[in-house]
Amino acid sequence: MNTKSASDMDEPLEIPYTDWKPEYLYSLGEVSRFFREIVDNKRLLGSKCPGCSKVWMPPRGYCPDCHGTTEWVPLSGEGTVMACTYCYFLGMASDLIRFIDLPYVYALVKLDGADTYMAHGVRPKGQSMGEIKTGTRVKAVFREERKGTIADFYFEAVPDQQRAKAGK
Amino acid sequence: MRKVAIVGIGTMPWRSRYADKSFRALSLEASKKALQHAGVSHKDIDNVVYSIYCETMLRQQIPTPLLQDYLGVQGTSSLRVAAGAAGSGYALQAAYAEIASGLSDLTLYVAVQKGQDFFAFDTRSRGDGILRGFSISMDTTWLQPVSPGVPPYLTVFCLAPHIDRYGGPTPQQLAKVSVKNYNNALLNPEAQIRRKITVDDVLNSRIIAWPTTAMMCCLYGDQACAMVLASEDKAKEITDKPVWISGIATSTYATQRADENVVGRMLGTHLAAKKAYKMAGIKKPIDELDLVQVHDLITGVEIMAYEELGLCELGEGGRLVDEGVVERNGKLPVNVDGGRIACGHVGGVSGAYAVCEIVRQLREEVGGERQVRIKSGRGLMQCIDGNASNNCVAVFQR
Repeated sequence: MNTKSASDMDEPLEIPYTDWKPEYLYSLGEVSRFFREIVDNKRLLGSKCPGCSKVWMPPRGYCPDCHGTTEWVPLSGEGTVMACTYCYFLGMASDLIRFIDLPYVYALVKLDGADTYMAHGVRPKGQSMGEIKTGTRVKAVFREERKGTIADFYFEAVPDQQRAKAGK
Repeated sequence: MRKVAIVGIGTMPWRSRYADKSFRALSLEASKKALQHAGVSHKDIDNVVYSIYCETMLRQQIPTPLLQDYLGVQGTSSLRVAAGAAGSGYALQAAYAEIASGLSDLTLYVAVQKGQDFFAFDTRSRGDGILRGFSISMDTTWLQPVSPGVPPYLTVFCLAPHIDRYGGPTPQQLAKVSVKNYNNALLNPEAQIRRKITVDDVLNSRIIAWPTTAMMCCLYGDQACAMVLASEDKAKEITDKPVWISGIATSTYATQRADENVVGRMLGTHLAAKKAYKMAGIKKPIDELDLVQVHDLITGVEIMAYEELGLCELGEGGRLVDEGVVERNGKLPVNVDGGRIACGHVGGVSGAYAVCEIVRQLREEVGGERQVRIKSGRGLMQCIDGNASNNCVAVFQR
């Protein structure tokens, strides 16, 4: 016999739905070479428009200004922090939580040889709070396990900042 | 182009979650309010424009036929516009165009989103589920795998370079905007958070992405808003207090393609504002508007919005805060509803809520302390998405 009152029966009923977990086997298409270079050779490439000479980073198969097909150019992996913020909060279910420590220094990095900035993490390696900032010279460091995503590498401040800024 | 007026509005109280209402019921309740406010029946409606940001968050792809059925407007033309958290503005532009072009005389505009049905079972957290659930709203190839979310994105692409370039806004100014908006929310019975706070409370709250702290960040929730839009002839039949959409523009400018000209700016807001002002005939907005609503996804982008909207010079936004210009009793009140940080926010609906607030204010139906003094009869809505890449600016005229 139903002993619940009418109002109990109208209480919001919350049920789980976990059947649909989108899974993909996706293709990197025209930027496949960029990711293969990371996985196989631990090297970063930029994409250069032969028409206007602009080097796009992150790379792209076509120049948005003239629609020309771009060419791959090797980059040294060194660059400069153009802006950064120290992040102290991540959702615990975030992919990032698996491989970073807080604070996460989220920065805009202008790679040497590229004309546009890319957003990425700079991992402190002995630097004190605030030492990584606008103007800091950084270098790409590649992870042991590389899968073909932008998270296969991160940046670290170059040890000798004075030397690096003097361009030596 | 024909003139277009808003002749009815309907909003719901902001709540972090409406467990007792599906997105269908939320849409109907907001629509009923708007139709009643306009004094028209849903059977009179020519077409419906929906603002719905995220299908996966609703747990429903292609939701509009379900809503057409549920709202009792089967068979009318409908279209759905999505542009992240700026979608409400983009959808308003589409609704405007439907009437301005003559395709429709009476349009129902419905914005709805459930923000809180996601749940992360691995960490047993709704918040984690939501952050994960909308993480693919960022560029999944180049940003999402290394980006912690909206407040850090806006901080590093917009706020931090702005601070480098202009020396501000300072943490104090960022916190003052939080206090302003929380104070405004105290007077808004629909606001999600109604609490008195101080600058120290804001500065001492959890750091999310320096200098942005938790109390400088927007909320998230469930919400629906509706409006009835009409052509000039129809508006005159319906009401003696139409609020005209005198200017509206969008500008989609991806901040992620960053170089020195893009960082530290919200160029889309600047470009959309130029177009909207031209359409509305506004030359000096600080003098010609009675109130402004902007998207304070973080208080830093509220201050940057003052600049991009031309309320002051670039770099001067903090001064408007210090001088009290943007306070409720200041020269040009901003976010009298409490803003996204205290009143409430969910993608695809907040801009519509802001427009409803402007309509209420211009029609002087708010009353009490929250009523803004109406001099020019003009208000402005700006909304952006979480990457400040989708931008809409609209001007309203009584």
